[in-house]
Amino acid sequence: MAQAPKPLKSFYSCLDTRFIKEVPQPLQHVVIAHFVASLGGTVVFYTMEDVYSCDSHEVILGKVLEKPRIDGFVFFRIAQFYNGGRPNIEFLRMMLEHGYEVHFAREKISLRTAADLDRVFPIVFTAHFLEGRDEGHAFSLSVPR
Amino acid sequence: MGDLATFGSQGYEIFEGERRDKIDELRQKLFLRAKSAVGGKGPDEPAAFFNRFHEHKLSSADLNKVRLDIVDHCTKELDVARNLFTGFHSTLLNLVGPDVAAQRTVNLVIQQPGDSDQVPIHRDAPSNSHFEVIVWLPLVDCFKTKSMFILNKPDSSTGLDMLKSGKSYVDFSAFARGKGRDLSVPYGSACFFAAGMVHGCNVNIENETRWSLNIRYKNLFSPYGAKGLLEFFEIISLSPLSRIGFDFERQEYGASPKAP
Repeated sequence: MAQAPKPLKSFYSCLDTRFIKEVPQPLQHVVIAHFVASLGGTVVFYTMEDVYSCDSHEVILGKVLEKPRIDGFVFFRIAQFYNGGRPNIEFLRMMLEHGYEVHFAREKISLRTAADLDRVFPIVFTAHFLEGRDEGHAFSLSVPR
Repeated sequence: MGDLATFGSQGYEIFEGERRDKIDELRQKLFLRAKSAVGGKGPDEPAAFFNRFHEHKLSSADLNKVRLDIVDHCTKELDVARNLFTGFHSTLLNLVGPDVAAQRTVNLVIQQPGDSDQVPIHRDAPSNSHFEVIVWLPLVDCFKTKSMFILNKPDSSTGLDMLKSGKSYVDFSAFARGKGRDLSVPYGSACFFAAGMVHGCNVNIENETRWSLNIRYKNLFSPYGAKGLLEFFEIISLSPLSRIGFDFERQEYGASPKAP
């Protein structure tokens, strides 16, 4: 007897408001959709922060607190959580503790538990640190001077 | 085989693997995957299978399909970066240190005799970081046109100056082909080269197919190029000190002090 197909996972996607000029919304949608398909899922709703809520994540926070019946949230890139001086690890932990998966399409990084967050902490912390350290230097652009 | 001082002066060197068992194990797994991709046909021994791969007479499209399938398999199942780090441990430790980021996806090249489809002469940095070392690992003995050629550090600098001064890419390529040395890299060894070294390959006119992997390693904390840490690399090694540092930093973020 043929097995019933596994139901698709459902995700809310959150585009990167600060990166629209470099990667326009339609392209961010394509990247996210392709990544979500590889997770066995589909995007059922999308949103993005206002330019003034990019650091506080109030738009996404509102969605989390609505307790939507979805598997998780997919962001375009981890830099959406580089809030000024430090990566907003606490916010990511909060989403995971609410039972939601958190994924990042550009980096293909997936967090399903708080333990996953602890595991990726070194690379996320280091990437954020290096961005601050190397910004403005020629080698950070990697083009001939 | 292999001398760090030589690497330092010419920008590349061939080092013998320290853990041949790791290299053999990796090759065996790649062989099994590749053989399955061609319906189980071909010699039963890895070297013979890879060397005679052109006898399957695959179209370019089918060859690329096989290649991409193996690359995908490497990424998902074979942990190539860590296995090669073990295989060439002291060489890599000396070149990049104990805190290591490695390219997530290994590259596989299958260069059949007479195949003119090849990457142009180039150097990886820029736009990649100059602080990367490329490990070029042949899966069969490579020599003459079955191998790659590379320019040493002084000649690579001259080539770069040519491009910066406005000389054409054609002139640069001619210069590079004149100065490039075909490398003899026996299976069980790898060529390590700095990302700024000019390199390329000639059309393979030997009667054997070249199979080679290439993967990049760098010190975790060294500058990155266009290929950023999060998108293209993974951490494969941390020194005990760095582990302690990250544990304490993690604690600042309200997390448990010890990572799993």
